[in-house]
Amino acid sequence: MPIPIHKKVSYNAAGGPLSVNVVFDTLMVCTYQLILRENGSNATVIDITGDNANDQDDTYQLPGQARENNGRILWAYMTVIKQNEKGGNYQLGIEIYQDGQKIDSIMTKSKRITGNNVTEILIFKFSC
Amino acid sequence: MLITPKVVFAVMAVIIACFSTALAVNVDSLRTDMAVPGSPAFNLMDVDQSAIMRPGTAKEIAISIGNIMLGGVVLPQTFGVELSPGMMLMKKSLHEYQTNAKKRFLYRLNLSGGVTRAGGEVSAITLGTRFTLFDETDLLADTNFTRLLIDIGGKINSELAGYTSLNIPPDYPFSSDTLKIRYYESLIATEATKINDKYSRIIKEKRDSVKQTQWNKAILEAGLAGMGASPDSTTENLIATKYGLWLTYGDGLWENNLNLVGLRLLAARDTSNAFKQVNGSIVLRSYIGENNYKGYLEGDGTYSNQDIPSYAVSLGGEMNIANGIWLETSAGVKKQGKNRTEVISSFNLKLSTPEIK
Repeated sequence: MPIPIHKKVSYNAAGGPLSVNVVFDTLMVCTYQLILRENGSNATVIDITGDNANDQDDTYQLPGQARENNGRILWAYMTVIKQNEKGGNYQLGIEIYQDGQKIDSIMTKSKRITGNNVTEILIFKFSC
Repeated sequence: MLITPKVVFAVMAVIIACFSTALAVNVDSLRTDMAVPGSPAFNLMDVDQSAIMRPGTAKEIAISIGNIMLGGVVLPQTFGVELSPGMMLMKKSLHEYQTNAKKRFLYRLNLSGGVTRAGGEVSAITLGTRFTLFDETDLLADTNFTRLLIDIGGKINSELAGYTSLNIPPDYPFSSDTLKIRYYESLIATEATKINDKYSRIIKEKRDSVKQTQWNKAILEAGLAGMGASPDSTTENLIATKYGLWLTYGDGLWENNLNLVGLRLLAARDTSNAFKQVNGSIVLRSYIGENNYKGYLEGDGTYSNQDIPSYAVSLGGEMNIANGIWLETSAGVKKQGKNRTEVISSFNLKLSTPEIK
């Protein structure tokens, strides 16, 4: 099982609210759960779930003003499931936006699924 | 002992197997393969599997072409490339695959091509394509099955999130203690493996169950290929020498039935340089049973303007005897022109990709 990938995101405290965009490049089923935790605690600020089988936007604005996210940690749990024996490749990622600009991202490598299902975990710490 | 369809099939398989061995005539040389070949171009040329390149990305193609142009790669006598432009060039979207028929067609489209060299020069070029016009057996396009998997994926994420929330300290993985980070990394990886393994079995069960209902849905696939060869080993004088067409249609009339039609047409130039070598065959097969064990009645017809047409009728069966192992057996009669009717039979073990438990 892949180990979590993590990154610190620097952003402008005086800028607009932060947004998170979930990115998929796969024909397999992918579900995700995004959890934003308070600085230094496991208390949850937001808890969002979604998947890649609909036409809804997978972009979410983080609550409050930008500076309120300082020190918060975002966990993205992304599970890929293959529908048939053939499976396929997948590449997943999370992009962070502020004021319409992409300020950072984590993308997994393009991988071939080996079992029936796999979970990738991406973790960001916001810092201003 | 209960007389279930499985038992009936096993008994039938043994009887036919004994019958086949005694007659020692193999039907495989007579029966047309009704499936559209995976790469039609390679079907027209004699390509060694090791000489086939299957690039997964546009980058891989660019690197390979670069190597060839710079002379860094010595091409074998026959060399083939097989690719799916849709999978390579388009950003893959499950939602688009399920809702946009044009994109689904492009995702499934397969192109193949190959060259044959003689004396260091290209002597023949073959191009082929394989495409699916519709495929209701495709689990990727099955929105009900997708919803089932989304539900399972949601549970996996939720269980893992619950575990990390309870067992992983809030400063992970941004503390300065590297050893602590490694320790928690391994805890998360172990738990993620455990949870995913638990649901992997459920996913397999659900998939098997859906496949049981999908195996006899409608499907239409086609393949085309053409070969151009040069009589004097230069690409300037290439002329078309061979064409191939394959077509497979399948559909079920009721729950435990699947009917298949396979058509193959090959045309080649003869020694008079005209397209007078024509071979065609048609196979009609009607299955009764379930995905894992089924019996069938088959009729074959083979036409060739170089040979006497032949016809065959046979009864057979297929059974999934173990994960990835299929037993196929059949027996019947074949008639070619005024020749005596011949008894034909086959008994094969076929391996397919084993499923992950």
